[in-house]
Amino acid sequence: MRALIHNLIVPILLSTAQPAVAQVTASSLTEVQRGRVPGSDSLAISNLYEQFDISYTRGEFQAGLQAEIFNAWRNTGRDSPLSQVEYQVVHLAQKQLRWTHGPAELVAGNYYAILGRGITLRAFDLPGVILESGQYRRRYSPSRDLEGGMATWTGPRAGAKALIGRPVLSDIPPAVRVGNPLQDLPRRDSWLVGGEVSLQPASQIKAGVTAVSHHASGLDSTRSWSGFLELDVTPAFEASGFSDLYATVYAEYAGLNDVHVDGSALYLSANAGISNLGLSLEYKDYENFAFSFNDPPSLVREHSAVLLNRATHALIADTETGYQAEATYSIFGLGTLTANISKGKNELAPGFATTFNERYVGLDIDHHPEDHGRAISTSLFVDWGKDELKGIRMHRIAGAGIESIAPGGAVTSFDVQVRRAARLPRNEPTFRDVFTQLSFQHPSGVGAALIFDRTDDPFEVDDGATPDRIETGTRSWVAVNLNAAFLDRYEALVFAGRRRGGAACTSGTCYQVLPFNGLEMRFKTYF
Amino acid sequence: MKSTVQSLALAASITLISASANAAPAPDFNLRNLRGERVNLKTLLAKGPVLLDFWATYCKPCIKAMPKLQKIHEKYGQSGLTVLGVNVDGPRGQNRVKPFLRARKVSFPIALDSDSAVMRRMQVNVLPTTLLITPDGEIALRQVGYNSKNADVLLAAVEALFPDSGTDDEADPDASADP
Repeated sequence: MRALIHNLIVPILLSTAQPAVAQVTASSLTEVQRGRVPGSDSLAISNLYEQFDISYTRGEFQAGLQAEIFNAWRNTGRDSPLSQVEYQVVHLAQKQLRWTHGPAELVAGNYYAILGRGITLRAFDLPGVILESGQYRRRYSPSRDLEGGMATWTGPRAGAKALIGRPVLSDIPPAVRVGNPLQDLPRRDSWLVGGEVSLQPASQIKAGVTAVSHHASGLDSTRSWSGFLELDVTPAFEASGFSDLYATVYAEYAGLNDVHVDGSALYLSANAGISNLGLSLEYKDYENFAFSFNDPPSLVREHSAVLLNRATHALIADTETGYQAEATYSIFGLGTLTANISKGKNELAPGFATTFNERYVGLDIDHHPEDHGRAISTSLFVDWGKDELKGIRMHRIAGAGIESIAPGGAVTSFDVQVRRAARLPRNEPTFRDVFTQLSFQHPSGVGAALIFDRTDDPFEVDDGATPDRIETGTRSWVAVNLNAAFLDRYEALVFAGRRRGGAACTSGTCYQVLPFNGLEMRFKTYF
Repeated sequence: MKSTVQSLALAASITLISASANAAPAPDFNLRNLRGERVNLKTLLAKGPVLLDFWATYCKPCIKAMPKLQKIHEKYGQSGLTVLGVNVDGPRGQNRVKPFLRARKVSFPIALDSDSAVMRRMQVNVLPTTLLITPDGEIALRQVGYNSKNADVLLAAVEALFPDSGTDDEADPDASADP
């Protein structure tokens, strides 16, 4: 408790003990769970996660602090002498000093940065995401920041970024202690130095280079670099009389050298369009280019549908080639038609490769009457493909949704998604997933949703506790979500029921969510 | 059980401390727009209020909010309001942003927050979130999520900042910036 006071309360009091004009922003995210993770817990666990952010701004200076508290109480068995196993983690996750003066910015402490398109370095935040580590059973924010310092200059015709810092191993929660005697498991056991310089001699052309040198204790250092070029050819079209046409191309090539291996990464992209039609094309060729602190573009579509993101492909930057193409057509006054195709190939060993491909077609139609009557939005999609890396030889996913907005603002919506899939080898039977959600949102800010998830996937239905037989049948997850927003400062969310685990995605990053049975309450305050 | 009580008490204290904090200015930031040009909040605020909309291409409520924001941009852009969409797709979806916007005829400026750093500094963790920032840098309105009531409240807040703008005026479309 003493550490808690030193790490959290004192900085808070110091920050708030400013004159009456103190420019302080703060937010608090509290999540309480009572329940269990199926397959891991035989009895219910109670836990509390608190994330607190506070920042102080005076002129061009900003100071920020983020603390995490995680507390869990687990019943391991009534007769066990260790019937109560408790964790208590108080962690000062981030501290930051920032000075912004026109195009110049200096940061000391924890920060985020992307060089180029993230091929040599991508340190990023996942706002609002709280993950539970299945291995260590800790809940924490999985942000991938750097701890050190960064100087950035963003000019009208040029930009430069220089940084030094220790990347975090975000799969490891904070304050995990292992071994005998117990020692903290290090989350930041390496450091890197890097930067980017870019020039934009004219508005339609930009070129730059990035470089990163990474040093881990006991290992040889790794050096990576990249060069990129971006061209906007729209002015050329305009000069030729095609004023409705636009196009941009981007290319980045990266190399990597260390004592043992040479790597390379090529990323090409182009977007173009005319009138209501937009096109996006991307190509990737990554070889030996995976580190803990980079995250090259995956070229796999991030969806809004649960079943589509749950079936998403995980990029292997050590060996992946592929492409993605997407067309968007706005049907004027009606809605939007989207078609996407993506493919990835992983050469896992000489002569052994796995293929991922996905084809998606979606149609969104909106009807908003001029007389402020009831508005109706409908969406339909179909998606099919395979992901041999995950052992899926084929999948077909279809979904439909309808949303009705009453003249008073009340929103009622219903979504249904169905997935039919089969695993490798070829004679494995198909299985089916069904996801439905019925929700209602009152204009006062109060809402409720009923979620139903069902599968006959043998991997989900089989009970790991009975290895002598394989269970068949179906398995269902039913849950209720309640939400409320009030006084423009508070948000509350209550989840009750069973949640299916699997992949979820936020801001271009996918992560694994553990299944959960029980009650969860989230409360967010910001000022 | 003792630590249970301590943690609950601590969480309650933190919430109360948050509630007692004064309203604060939005932190300044430098981002790049789709043309690679610098977008600086302080520079925008020198021209008038700024409406920041955090969004992503995969976020359906964000897409629903865009026509309303476009109307606000068309109506109040000439009066000094800057509507700025802050895209948080990250490098994974960055290439799709321009075709996405052009096909939907969205013309207010877009900045790329590829590492979500500005989103974090603005204490945003739900998409869409819309912040109305007054010229002196105060966050006058924060809206989380999108619904028609939110849209009406936002429009009323913007109108309050521009009491002299007529309600039926159509803005000059040439005033809109290329995303």
